[in-house]
Amino acid sequence: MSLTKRIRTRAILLLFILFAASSYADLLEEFPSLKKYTFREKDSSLYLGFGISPISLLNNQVFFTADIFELHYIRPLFDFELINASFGISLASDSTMNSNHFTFRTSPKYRVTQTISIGPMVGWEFVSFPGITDQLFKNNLSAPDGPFSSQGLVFGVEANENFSFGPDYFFKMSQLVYKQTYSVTQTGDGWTYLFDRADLQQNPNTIGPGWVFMLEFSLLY
Amino acid sequence: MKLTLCILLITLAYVRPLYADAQWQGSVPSFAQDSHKWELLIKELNDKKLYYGALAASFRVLTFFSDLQSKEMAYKTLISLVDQGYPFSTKAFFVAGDIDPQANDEFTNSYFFYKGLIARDHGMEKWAEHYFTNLDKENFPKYLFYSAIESYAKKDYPTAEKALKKILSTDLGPDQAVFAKKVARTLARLYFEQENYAKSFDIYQSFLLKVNPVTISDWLEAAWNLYYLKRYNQAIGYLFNLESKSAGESINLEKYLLRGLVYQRACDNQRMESLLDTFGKDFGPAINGIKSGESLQKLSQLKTIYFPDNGEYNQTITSLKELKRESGQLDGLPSRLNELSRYLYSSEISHLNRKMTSYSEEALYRAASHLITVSESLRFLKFDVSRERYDPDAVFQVAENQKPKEEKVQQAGFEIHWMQMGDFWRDEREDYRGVLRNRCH
Repeated sequence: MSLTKRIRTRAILLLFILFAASSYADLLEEFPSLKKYTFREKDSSLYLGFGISPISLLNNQVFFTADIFELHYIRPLFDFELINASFGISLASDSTMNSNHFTFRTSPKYRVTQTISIGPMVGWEFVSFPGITDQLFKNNLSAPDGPFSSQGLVFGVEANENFSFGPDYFFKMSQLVYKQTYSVTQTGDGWTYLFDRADLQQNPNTIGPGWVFMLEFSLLY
Repeated sequence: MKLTLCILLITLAYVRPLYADAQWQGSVPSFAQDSHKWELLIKELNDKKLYYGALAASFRVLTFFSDLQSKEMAYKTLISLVDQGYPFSTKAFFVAGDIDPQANDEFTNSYFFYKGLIARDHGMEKWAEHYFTNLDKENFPKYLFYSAIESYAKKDYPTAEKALKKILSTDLGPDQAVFAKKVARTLARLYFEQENYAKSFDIYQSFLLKVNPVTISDWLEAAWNLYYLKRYNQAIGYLFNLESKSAGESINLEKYLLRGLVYQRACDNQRMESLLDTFGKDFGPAINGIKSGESLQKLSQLKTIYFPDNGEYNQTITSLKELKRESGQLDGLPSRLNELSRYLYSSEISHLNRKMTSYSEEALYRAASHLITVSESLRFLKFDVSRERYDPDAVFQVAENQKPKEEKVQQAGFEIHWMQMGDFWRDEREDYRGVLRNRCH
């Protein structure tokens, strides 16, 4: 069979399939208002999601974040972000000050309107600065040199705007303001940081915690 | 003497009817003479979902009270109960209706619509037109439905289809599920009449059988479509639903005939034999009783047969059953309504019992005739099943896989294998199949 013939046969077949599909269209597609009478399994109200934050500020540095995993529980009165796991990178003018951030956070929010919800946010953050080396000391003990890392609580406020498209999807826009609390002087179990850079040892607050302003876009499904 | 006789005769002529009237007159107990109390009772019964009681109470209000406010309340209740799915005709309640609602709302349209229907039923065409002119004929869904039914009866299918689709295109409101089902079912029947079985089946599958509660007869009607579409396994699967407890006590004998017809197409003598056995077990004693001239009243199986011509009898039986069930739930009503509610239920049950006695003889006779006809049809069908094996059209038709043990479906990038483990297949797709093998080859 020649190529032209084959293409023509396939085109006819495709047209036939399309025609057959349209001639036996589902009644509910033709009359969508009937859908409300049919039995529908109860909505679980649980949504998974992922997202990005293309524009954020962290201590006057540009901050990019990707939300790897989101789990939401959305009811008419509240929008509970059960867990949000994100990975972020901050870019400083001095490249040695660049930092990586793993953040796990949760946020119970009240739905002010069908679209807008607002509430507190709390979480835990793991920070590392690959370009800054430090050593840990405790009593007479010391740990080998390594990139500086710390962890601490984060807390703040979050506002969401949820736009539903289709019965099972939401486009979520979030605005967050939160405070970091990780320590640059010692770890939670009493180990002291000794930076290899003298300026940081004298003034560790240069890489200390600050405020984060974040704009985030997510898809929930 | 003549004069005395005349006076005596005249006196008798007047007194006798008066005495007769007194015999037929009922007295309304004092506690049932307060229309406000009835209004409260109807509201409470509606709130507690005791709908058959609410309907009976509305009828009592129409009988006992002449003030327009009470009547309007009673008619509103009746119309809302019909909209919620009361399965029988309520036209009789509207015969004496003399209110004149003015608002342009659902109630007013419904009231004038029912009045118009009754006038037309009684051949009073001018009155019917008078009532129908008060309606928004172009947009009132019930009138559009009525006009669609009229076109359907005249076999003007395009006009009927257009009207039905117009109703389905409007947003009917969440409390109109029963009406939406009626409209969709009529559209399905319209397609069935035109032998467009695929479209008809689509309405049952995609809508009617997915609205809770399912109307049991829809399984049967869907199975008829599948039979004509030659999807016999599925037809049997859908018919099996009629054997479930949720199908209720009333039995539609058509299901036996349809199963027989399917077995005929599959030349399945064995299944046909077992169908006759089942029918014999279900109705054998009743058939033997009819043949030996037993009193029909003693044949309890006759009372379970659904026969459309026994409309009023079916209505009375159902109402009695529901009122008895509801009467056990009256303790939840406020104590001040106890006396009135007990009076309503006891008097209505005793009234329906009397009514049923008067209907039963004729209704049971009709059911018995229907049963004998179906029984004989099944016997003849058995011969047809045996003969089908020798029908050249059936013998030489292309053999197809009639017993799918497994079905593969491409869905969301996966290949899903649906396995059939038993005789009856029901899966998450709401697809029903019975096992049936074509034995014609």
